[in-house]
Amino acid sequence: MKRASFSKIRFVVAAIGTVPLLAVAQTAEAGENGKQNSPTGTIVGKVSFDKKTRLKSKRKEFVKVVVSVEDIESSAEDMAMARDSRNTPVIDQKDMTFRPHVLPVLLGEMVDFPNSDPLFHNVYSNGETKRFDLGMYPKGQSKQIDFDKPGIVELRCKVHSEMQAFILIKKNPYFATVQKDGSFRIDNVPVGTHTLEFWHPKAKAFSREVTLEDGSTVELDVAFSERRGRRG
Amino acid sequence: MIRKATNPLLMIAIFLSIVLAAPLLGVGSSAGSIAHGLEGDAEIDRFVALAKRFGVRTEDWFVAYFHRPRDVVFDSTDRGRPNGFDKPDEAFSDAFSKFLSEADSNGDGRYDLRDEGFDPEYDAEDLERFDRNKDGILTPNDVAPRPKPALRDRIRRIIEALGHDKQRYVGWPEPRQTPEKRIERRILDLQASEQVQSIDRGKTARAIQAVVEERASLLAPGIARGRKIFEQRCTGCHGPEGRGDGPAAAFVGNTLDGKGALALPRNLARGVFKYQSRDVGRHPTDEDLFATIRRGLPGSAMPASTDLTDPDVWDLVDYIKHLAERAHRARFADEAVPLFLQSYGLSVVEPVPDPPSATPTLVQEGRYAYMLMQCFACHGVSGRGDGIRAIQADTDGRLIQARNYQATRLLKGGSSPSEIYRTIAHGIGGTPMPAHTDDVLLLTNDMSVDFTEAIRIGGGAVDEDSGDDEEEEEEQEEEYEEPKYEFRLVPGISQTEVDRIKAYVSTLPSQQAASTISAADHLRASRMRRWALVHYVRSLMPLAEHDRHSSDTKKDMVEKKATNNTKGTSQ
Ligand code: HEC
Ligand code: HEC
Ligand SMILES: [Cu+2]
Repeated sequence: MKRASFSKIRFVVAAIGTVPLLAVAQTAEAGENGKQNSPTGTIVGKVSFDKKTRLKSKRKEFVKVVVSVEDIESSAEDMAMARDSRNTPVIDQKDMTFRPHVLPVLLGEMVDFPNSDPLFHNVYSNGETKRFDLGMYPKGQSKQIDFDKPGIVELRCKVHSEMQAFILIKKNPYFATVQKDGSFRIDNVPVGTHTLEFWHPKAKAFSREVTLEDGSTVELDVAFSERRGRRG
Repeated sequence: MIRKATNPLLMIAIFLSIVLAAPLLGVGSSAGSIAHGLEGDAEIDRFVALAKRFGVRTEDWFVAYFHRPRDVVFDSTDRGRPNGFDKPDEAFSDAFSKFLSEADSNGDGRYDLRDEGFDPEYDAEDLERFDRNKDGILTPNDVAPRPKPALRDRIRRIIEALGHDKQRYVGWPEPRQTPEKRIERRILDLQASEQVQSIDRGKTARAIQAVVEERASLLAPGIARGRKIFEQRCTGCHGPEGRGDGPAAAFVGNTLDGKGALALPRNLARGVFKYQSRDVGRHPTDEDLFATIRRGLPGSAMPASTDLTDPDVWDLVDYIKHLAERAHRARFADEAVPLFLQSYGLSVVEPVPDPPSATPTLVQEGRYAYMLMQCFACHGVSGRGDGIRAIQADTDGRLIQARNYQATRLLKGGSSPSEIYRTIAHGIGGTPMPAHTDDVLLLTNDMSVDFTEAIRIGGGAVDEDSGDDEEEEEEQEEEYEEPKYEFRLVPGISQTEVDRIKAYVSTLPSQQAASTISAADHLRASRMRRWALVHYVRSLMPLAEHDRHSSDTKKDMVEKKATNNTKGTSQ
């Protein structure tokens, strides 16, 4: 269900732009304050790219990978709690690039889109998960919008059609962005057998089953094996 | 019926037969004689009587239109098919250049209105191609026979007999009264309750389901009728499934000099529309779609349908919505509420305030805003649609060019001040034309006035974490390299103008002052800036004198709708 969402104006000092960005990458690992008493485990691992993906196993590609537990739908309260425990996720527009290129967020979360370039940018999406157009705004201004439907949103700028970013909207807080060295870590995942999905904008997504016991840490070493098909 | 035909020739044959049979499907048994052409006056009279009764276009109209569209729609961008429906191959190009050189009767190297004997200043003769509504506003007149011997005469007689000139569609439709509107309220209530008690989703979902089913059964008859009309008149361009892949689609995309990109028939299954009174992300109102179908989109191949009756057009509207909703449902089987229903009541048509008159000061302010807000990036410094970003891909991956204001007096979304206001506010869905929302139109005195364009200077890898000092090895991706840019001054802006704009900017409030302005003042300032843009754009257009001082049809519609909405809520 699409609902009216408000984009608010905010005059931010231009320099702030990039700071929260780094913070977000780390806090994307899910909520510390998950239920304290229910049994949980941890998933850690490393990803790489096989030759057929034609992507290099390099920092630049690693940070575009999102690892997420797909088969859990958190309750409304848990989601609210997870949202409160995170900083507002940010995608900056700098040097004609959306940064970061891939951002996982929680269902219902507001995302901030500051503009740090010396010209007007625009943020819009025509996809079916969320359709919006934030209008044109100059350097130093920012706009926000919330994402109220799970799925993938491809962001673009109308003026600079080569600008592109992806927002992955998740139904639970058990996800992480892969670090520059290819490693990832998801804490406080409820015990049980889960489907773990690996996503990259240019490689074919795949999933793995993991079984967690209380207090255990599961370790994975996985690789993207194929390139994503056209419009995949 | 068409879906099965894979052979292109068969497609063409079927398509032609549909086009040719168009009137027949509407008029039933009189088929044979009409399909063979209109011989004598008696035949014409009989046909006209039938056509009037059933509101269908004439066979001649379709023959003429698909053969040489400009015969009957003077500003159509459709290049025509002198060779029938075949791929636009070399033979076509040759034939077409021949056609063009013949059509270029004044020998200035291009085929345009002047070749039709129009004065560039849009003299009285040209005005015949337009109608006036009750306020004296000129409105598109899609039937403008150009001098072409036999066919023209025949078409003219038919048109005259049909009285089309007199009944041309002028403004916006009355707000629609349909059974569907009655259930709108119930959907809204249910949505509200769903928001409140998201725990008891099952129950609300079932209730919504019931309303949705009721809506479907209410719409079914209209959709069925709409499909029939669509197959008669629209599949040629929009394709049998509305995916924009009809046999005529291949012919309408490029400008003749190959330097521009014109709109291709829309893929209606996508559910993305260009001209609408709601924000991007919502869906057009029925009235929006009605206006598009009635008026056509001047400057594209999409013809007006002035001869359909109102109920016919409403049926087409239902069918267009159905095409989008069907495709959407196929992808999102679990989504309870159909696409268009999702927008009901959630958004009201933005009340377009009274247009202020176009004083020179306001026009000048419009120019400043045009430059400061970088409209020039696409529309060019002088509004000719030649900015550095003028041609980019639309949602369907096809190229579209930013509008050249200097070359047209008829914009697709309407040329009256409030219609342009709407276009600027909401942007144009699925194209590079962005929205210009209320909250950002406030420019401030500390903004940059260096008119920078981002020029691509190659595809060297842009490091995504440039803040990091770690040394990065040479990274060469085989397929894609991140583009790299330099910000450079836009050519074509004079120093005098830069100085003037700088002076203007210094009179604006500071960012800090702006952030303390009350919401109401903010809104007022934003709207005034948008009006300034509207009047600046209009000042570039070759409008006739009375166009400039026109009052507004859109305004009436907005007001009507506003009252309609209040009625709806109090029921
Ligand atoms: C000669 C080709 C042609 C025919 C015939 C035609 N169209 Fe179109 N139509 C187009 C083109 C081209 C566009 C895209 C124009 C643009 O985007 O500027 C379009 C766009 C549209 C749109 C989208 C409007 C928007 O706001 O985005 C609708 C709706 C539509 N047509 C309905 C119809 C209907 C209904 C018919 C039959 C009565 C029809 N068309 C017949 C060529 C055609
Ligand atoms: C990123 C490129 C881009 C920018 C920036 C842009 N436009 Fe456009 N504009 C377009 C394109 C492309 C079209 C043509 C769309 C079509 O024909 O479907 C268009 C069309 C229009 C139209 C004509 C609509 C019609 O009904 O035919 C108007 C008016 C307009 N733009 C005004 C503006 C103004 C004012 C600004 C700045 C405040 C602006 N545009 C900025 C790309 C842009
Ligand atoms: Cu941009």
